Amino acid sequence: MEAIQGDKLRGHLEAMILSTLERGEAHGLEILHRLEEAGCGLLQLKEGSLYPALYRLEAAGAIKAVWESQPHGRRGARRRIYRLTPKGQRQVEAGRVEWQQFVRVVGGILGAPA
Amino acid sequence: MNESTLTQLKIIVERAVRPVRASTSRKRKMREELLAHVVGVFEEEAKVGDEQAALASTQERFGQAAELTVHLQASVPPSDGFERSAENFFGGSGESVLRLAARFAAAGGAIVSVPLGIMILICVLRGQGSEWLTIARVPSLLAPLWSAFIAFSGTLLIHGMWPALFGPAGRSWLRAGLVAVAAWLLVPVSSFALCLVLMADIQKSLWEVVPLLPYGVVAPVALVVVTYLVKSEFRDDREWARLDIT
Repeated sequence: MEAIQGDKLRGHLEAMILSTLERGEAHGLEILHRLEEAGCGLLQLKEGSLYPALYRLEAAGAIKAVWESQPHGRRGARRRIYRLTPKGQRQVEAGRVEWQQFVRVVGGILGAPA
Repeated sequence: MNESTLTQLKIIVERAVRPVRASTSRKRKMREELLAHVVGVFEEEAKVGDEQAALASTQERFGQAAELTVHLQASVPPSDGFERSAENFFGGSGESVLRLAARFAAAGGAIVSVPLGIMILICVLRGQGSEWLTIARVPSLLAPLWSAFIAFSGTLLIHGMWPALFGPAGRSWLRAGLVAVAAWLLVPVSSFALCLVLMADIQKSLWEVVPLLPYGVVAPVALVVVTYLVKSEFRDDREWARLDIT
């Protein structure tokens, strides 16, 4: 199966990030690992682009971040640990409903109902 | 991981972050978090290949710097503009220390002038404006000038203390001591000059400022504390700024 990357992910990345955080708080790299794992290796995301999405979600109040207390073995740089807020939780649920509607409508048009 | 590899990883990050128009604090946050990310990725990649291959894979996984810059820029909220403006005012644009000190002096003078002007206006409106023409009010009228002088000197002292304690040439206790003494004497000496102008009497002026000397100790202590608080950020900023990202 062909990998999903770039433009195809646009518009869905934020909802997917929020969804991964339902499993518990995580730093950026861990979020990526969760996305890869859930996407069965078919999601090909340029990793740097995760962070602007995280910053947007943080500014929107959907997630909160705290710096980890110690830079474990990473030469002085600390990671930020993200967790879902109640607003983010509501956003995930709304995102699922929107996605189901999208799949139903587009699937119907393409003759491939979900 | 050796220093050279760490520098290469920093360059990957800096290529994306440096062009972003955002406040220094926001860019610091981006740099630190993205560096932690690329170091983590590099460590993963280095387990399955040599260092050069791991670096190339890290770069590949991270993505194109120009594209990431655009995304990072889009994530900067409009409210960051206020912080950026404030940073530019406080010398974020790499201007000379004298110019910065002059700007702080102007700001210090202006800040004191506003309430003073309001007080004078209120007195004038109440018909008590003539009070401000007496010799007793001269120190108050000179307050903006005095504040400007303190702001100017304080800026120079802070920029003198930082290299004395954390400069590239190493710590110089002699220089730090001289700056501390200058900070200690700044308020008493400037007050003495003011008193001398007003009273034209050296002895009386001295007696006016002698009680200030013990309190003056607070100035060098505050100077050292501020310098310590900002030292790691200044040092990190300089390190990132020195990276050649071309």
